[in-house]
Amino acid sequence: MTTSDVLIVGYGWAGSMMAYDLVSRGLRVVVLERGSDLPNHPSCGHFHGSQGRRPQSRTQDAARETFTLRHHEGEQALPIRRMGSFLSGAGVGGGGVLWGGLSPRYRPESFRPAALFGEAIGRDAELDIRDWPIGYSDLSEGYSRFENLVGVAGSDGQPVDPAPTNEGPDLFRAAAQSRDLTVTSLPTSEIDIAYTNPLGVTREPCEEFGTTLATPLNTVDPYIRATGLLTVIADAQVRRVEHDGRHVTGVTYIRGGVEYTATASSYVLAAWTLNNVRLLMLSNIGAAYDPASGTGTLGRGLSNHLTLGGTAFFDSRTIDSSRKTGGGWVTSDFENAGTCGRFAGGAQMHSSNLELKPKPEAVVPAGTPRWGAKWKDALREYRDSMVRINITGEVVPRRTRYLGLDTVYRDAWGDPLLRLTYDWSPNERALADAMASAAAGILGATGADRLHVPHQLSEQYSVAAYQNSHLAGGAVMGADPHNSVVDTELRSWHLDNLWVVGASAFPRNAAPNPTATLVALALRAAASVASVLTTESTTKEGRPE
Amino acid sequence: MSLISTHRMQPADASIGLDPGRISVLTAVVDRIYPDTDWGPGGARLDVAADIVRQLAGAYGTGSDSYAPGPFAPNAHSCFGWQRDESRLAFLGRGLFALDRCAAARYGVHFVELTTMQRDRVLGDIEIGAAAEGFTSAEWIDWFDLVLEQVFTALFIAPVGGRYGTAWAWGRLLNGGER
Repeated sequence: MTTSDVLIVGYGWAGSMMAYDLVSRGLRVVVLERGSDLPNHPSCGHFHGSQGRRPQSRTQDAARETFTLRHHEGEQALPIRRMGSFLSGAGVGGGGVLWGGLSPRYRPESFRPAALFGEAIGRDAELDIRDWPIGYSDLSEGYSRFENLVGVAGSDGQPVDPAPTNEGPDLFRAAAQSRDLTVTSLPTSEIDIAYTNPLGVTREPCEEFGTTLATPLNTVDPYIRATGLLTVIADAQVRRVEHDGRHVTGVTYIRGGVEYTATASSYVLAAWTLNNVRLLMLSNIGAAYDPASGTGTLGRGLSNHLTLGGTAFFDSRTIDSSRKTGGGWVTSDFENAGTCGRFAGGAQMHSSNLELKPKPEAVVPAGTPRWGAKWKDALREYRDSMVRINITGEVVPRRTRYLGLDTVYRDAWGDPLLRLTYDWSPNERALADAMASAAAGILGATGADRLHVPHQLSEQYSVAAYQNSHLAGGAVMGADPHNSVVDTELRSWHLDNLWVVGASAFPRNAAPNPTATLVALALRAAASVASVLTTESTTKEGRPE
Repeated sequence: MSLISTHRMQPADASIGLDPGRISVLTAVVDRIYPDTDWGPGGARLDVAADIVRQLAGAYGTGSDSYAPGPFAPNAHSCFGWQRDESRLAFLGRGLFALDRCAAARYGVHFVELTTMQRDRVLGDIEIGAAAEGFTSAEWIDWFDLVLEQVFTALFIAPVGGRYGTAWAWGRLLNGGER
């Protein structure tokens, strides 16, 4: 049996930042990581060429455990047989090894959506929007710590100057500004210079690509391990959080086909959003949400981001895209665009140097045949004559969108898979249409000859192609145990030595990429864990024999 | 949608790959999808078929990293992703065999013996599920989408030299397919 001060399940951004904070206070931490204790990867963020940026070897092995999807209650849920529209990281570093590095903060007003979107909420009874129980000021220090630890580049007080941008993002910036939008440097942790963080950990651009992407492994992990206070138990598949109804008594996991139990004074679930919720459900911690009665909190408040884009094509102009740094430009003017009343939520719009996997539909103008000589000619014609805008739109919680345990499909150990009941709603369609119109206006102002800006979402939510890994909610934080799973410090309402950390706690998943916010929350939770342990220690020491 | 039997998906044996006959058909197909033009080599000269076989010999193609237990819903909407009870590699191979039968039924010869115009006509029908032979309409659409995906991947996403990025890919595509 393994024992420690704090046991953390998962070693992605949330788990590693918790571990960093706790060991820096002298606490002993054990991490259970379902994936392998893989060596640090090339700091540029690209794995070996043929693996691309998000290798399957660093993602959840769907052959052993996956999720199921149904679009509505009347539909048969089917397993997501291979990770597709979203990825859950596995192995040390977790999803923090797979991410794109974008590190924006929320706007202060984004923590109070109920008032912002009152008109849409009044019109759509299914919307399940609630305010964060804490505000920007409660997370601002955590945001700063995150930015300094990972080395975020930006022009709003971040520790690294913005990287130079390519011609495409610059055209986006000029066009957006011509339409009276505020444009700032894209906050990113993919940088093209060496950076040494306050812990003394240095990351340097790799030779092949000239950039370095921040991950847990090249920012906090070297410091944590050097303290000697961390024990990583890799390849450990956690199955249950054991408890007596008031306290966690241990965590059982499978390693090498053998079941073990690990104990600690305090416990932290820092797996990915959906896996946090599933582990709570499998462990019978809290009541599962029932949309029919509105009772239960676990699995409620599921939110996400939708990924849209637009491309401007130039017939006789070459766009220089030679820089491969993460530099770019962003407008946050749409972060709460739903204040217009047409929908709830908002979006973030940016254009960057970052080259992700090209998508067939995005590299040639609309109307081009999908194959044959005309397709080939179009590929060549516009290969370096495009400007691309990326739009991250908000998928707000609905009462009919939730998580539960599947009744048919099970994982390799015989446990039920987690089931998503999830589809687009008219709210997302209205948001997508509005943002596409805005994007078309900006791209049109670049002087492009033709545009490709889809206004419509797919007929149904699809898991076939990658979109993003920004699912949130399901174990939402709140000030009232009747409508939340964890308190304002991410401590379980049900078990007093359990914290559930990550985007699973987000009451609102505003449009900015979630990592900076979830790390700020994790650091807040770490302070809570440490405070409770210190109090208990003092109490025990002061307790008479 | 109805669920079918509860058997497990059978991962394909990657060491078997595709036989020479099917490779020939695949080469002919990719050469119509990405044809030779006056400014650059087509799929045959770029040996895209070999790249596809190699791509599908991995976990993605064989299904070894996919959730294999049934029940299956092979007729599920494409928004559910891959729901067939066979691997992509096996499905590709079965489709190549069916394509050859399709060519034989229409023109009395193998697919590789068709003129380019005839090949394009057959592939155009398959793209929209209008081919009657061998597969169901839905199977033909899925099969053609798989082939398109694999050609695009071979050209732009899984470069043969172990490098990454469209700039490098274009260097290859514009310069005669040198590896």
